[in-house]
Amino acid sequence: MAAAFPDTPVTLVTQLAKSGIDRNRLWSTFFDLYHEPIEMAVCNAFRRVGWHNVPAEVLEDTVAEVVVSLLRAPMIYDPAKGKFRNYLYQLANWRVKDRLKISCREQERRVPLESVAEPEDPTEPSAQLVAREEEAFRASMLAALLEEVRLSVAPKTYLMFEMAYLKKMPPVDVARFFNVKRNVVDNAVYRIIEKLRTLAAQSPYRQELQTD
Amino acid sequence: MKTIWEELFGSRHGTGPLTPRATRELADAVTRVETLQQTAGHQRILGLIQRKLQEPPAGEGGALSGEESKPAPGWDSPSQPASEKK
Repeated sequence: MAAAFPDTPVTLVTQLAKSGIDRNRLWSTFFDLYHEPIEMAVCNAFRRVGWHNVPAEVLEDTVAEVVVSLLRAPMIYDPAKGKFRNYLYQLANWRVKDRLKISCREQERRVPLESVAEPEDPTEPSAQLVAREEEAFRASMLAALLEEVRLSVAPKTYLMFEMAYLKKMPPVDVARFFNVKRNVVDNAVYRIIEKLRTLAAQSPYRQELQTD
Repeated sequence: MKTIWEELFGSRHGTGPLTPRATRELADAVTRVETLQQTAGHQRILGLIQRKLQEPPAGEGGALSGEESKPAPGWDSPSQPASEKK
């Protein structure tokens, strides 16, 4: 097991690799950030082939297969050829089809008819599924952006930002906690926001968010 | 009031502090991702991935694959099914 992690346009993974963090930490961080969009892509791929109410163990196993496929990809993903999320969705479709074949062939794991017959929510249009997929992907991208920023600043700076900005603690309390002046906290927040803007302005991130 | 998307990615994205709405959306996104990481399902899948990575790669010994599995046009296949690798 020595495949390289795919080079995604969301460069967090690349940066993690360069920082010398071990491989287990690398892929698990990726999964920590992109769990929901991967799971949603798999879930929706099952729905599109008519399998609703997929048992949790089947869903989880297929999600794991998607991540393993990514890790074992013989060819590196090329951002110039398309969006990473489309690549991910395609991969989810393939693994779902693999899973369906397994379920049909194995007697004891045959797809229960009742789970196929009735959609979980028959009124949910496919456009809504796509919207939910995109929403999850965007949340993951934001978290990945912040993770990248976090790795580029001193831990204390990021913690000040997190407490004062994300957790809404009064900046004076944060300053007291770190035993610094209030303007140090304000500066930390300003620096992180600026870094966030700079990073977001990079084309790979923009490309991911453009609509098809 | 600008959203986080307009603030960071819009054609006329802002400068300086984020709007309160954008700040809230940013915090919500981070919370959403962090919350999922705490679930038992997340840990189970991490364990599954770990286990699968220690197994020999599927596809060499008659692994099953989707009949319609094709690489997207113009892309390098991330994991072309075994049946199509012959």
